[in-house]
Amino acid sequence: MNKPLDYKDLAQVDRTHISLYTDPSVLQDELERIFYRSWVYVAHDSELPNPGDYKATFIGLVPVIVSRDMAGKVHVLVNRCMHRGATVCATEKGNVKSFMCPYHGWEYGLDGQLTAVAMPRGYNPGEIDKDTLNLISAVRVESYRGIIFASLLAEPDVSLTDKLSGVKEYIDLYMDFSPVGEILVGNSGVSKHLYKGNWKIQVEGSVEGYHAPVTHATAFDVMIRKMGFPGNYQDQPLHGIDGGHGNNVLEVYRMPDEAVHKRWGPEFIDLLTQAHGRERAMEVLRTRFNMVLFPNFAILEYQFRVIRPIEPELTEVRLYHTTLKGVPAKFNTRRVREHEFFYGPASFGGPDDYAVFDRMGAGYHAQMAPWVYLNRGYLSETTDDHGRRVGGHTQETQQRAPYYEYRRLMAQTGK
Amino acid sequence: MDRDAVEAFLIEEARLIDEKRWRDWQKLFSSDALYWIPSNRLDADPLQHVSFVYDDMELLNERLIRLESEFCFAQAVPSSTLHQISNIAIAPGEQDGEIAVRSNQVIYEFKNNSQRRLEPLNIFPAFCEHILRRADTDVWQMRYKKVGLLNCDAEITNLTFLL
Repeated sequence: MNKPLDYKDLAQVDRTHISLYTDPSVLQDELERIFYRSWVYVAHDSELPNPGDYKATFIGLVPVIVSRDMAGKVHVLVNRCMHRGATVCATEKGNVKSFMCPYHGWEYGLDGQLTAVAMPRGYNPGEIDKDTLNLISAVRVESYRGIIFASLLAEPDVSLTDKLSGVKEYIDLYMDFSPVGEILVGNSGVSKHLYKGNWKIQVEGSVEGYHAPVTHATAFDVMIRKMGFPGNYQDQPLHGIDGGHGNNVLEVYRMPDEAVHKRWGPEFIDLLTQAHGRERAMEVLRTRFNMVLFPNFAILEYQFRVIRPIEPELTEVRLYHTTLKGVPAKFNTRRVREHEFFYGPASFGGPDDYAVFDRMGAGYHAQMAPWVYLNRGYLSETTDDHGRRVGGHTQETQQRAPYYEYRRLMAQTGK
Repeated sequence: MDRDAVEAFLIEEARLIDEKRWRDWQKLFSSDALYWIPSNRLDADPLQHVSFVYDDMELLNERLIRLESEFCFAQAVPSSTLHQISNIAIAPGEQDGEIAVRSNQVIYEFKNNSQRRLEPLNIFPAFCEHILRRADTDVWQMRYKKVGLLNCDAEITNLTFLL
């Protein structure tokens, strides 16, 4: 029998072991201890605005349905007929009154309750107890500013409020880009990617400040030359922040007032000033960041990013483009064009990341070089007023951050 | 422009891409042209919805600069393509001196690189629309090119080659 893996040795503070990115048994442990027992992102309110609306998605490898019942309550249901196991929902989005299994006509309500089975007289008394055959529901479903998280099999040992406490201010900044504080997610496009590498490579990569001038040299060139992006990237006074519970933030830029006016123009600034007051509006407009909410969710400039492991070395990433409620259409068109420039399969930025991820996946099979280093800036890391670890934006504080929570959750054993 | 000439134009356009003669291909566009590859839905409004590509000629030029540079890692090594063109239908354009061409194209893409793990031959069937405009007596240009991928809603990681 193999000795159980000690994740404290494999995920050290300043380095990770390549087996974390390649070993199938590690992914199995991660699914059981992280994806199925802690908070994971499932959807945004705007994806299911009306009673009967649903979105079919995944928590880890488990197909789930996020549904809104007739009373407006959101449920997260395991998409698996309790009889013989077929999924009861085969489309990504829609509006229904119930979910029906196509095999034997078992029908489930929007809350997962088993409401009917076909030809019920064939069951003898004692052969079926309908009360025990409802779709499996996540034990917790909660949201913050429309962002819906679920915990599938167990009550997380951290409340959602605590989970988000270190990064809440950044979520608020993101939402307040809209004058009514609300966004729409995915209506304006979804970019779908697969890469041949482990899911944690994308978790690290979504807040990577070090690689940008190298991997994205061609995009930076255009951004500096044509879009007024500052050319002294390395010298910007920006930070990577460990927001606690595996969450983290990378400050991408922070503009002085003059640059805010140049970038956003008077009409948009006035709109936000009327809504939020001058000070708050400027704070929203000058700050640009990437953020990971561990384990499967990130918010980047114009997108909700959802990271889904499929195999140890196969990962799906979806970028759900976001638009702002309460603004003239032209401002959202600009969000569409700017997103398109850097992100998506034909863009100037994203495809280079996935090419690199593929190459990392290949390189991790060199077992004689077993360590991946995340120690840049470790010795100069400090703590801010909120007790969060902070480092320079090209250092690796924000890459180290997820592994504190990773070690904590992986030390637990699944039940 | 008769049917033979339209067909010859499409074949020549495809050949320039497949032979990586990108700057010659660029010259086929008028300066006010739009090169569009929709994402998720072929009829999505590009002003409200993200596209794969929505290039005016300035951005297309930047795209070519990127492809020509040594730092386009998504194209290291570069994709090779093969366009197969069929089902050509021709209609009058909305404006004088323009014609609208629809075609089906199958674009094969391959990266020949033993240093990358499994790189399969990719196949992209597409509904194409060209609007051709007479630029000079005998010279026609593309004022609009739309490549509507059959699998525009699929997981596609790398479309950084030219379609």
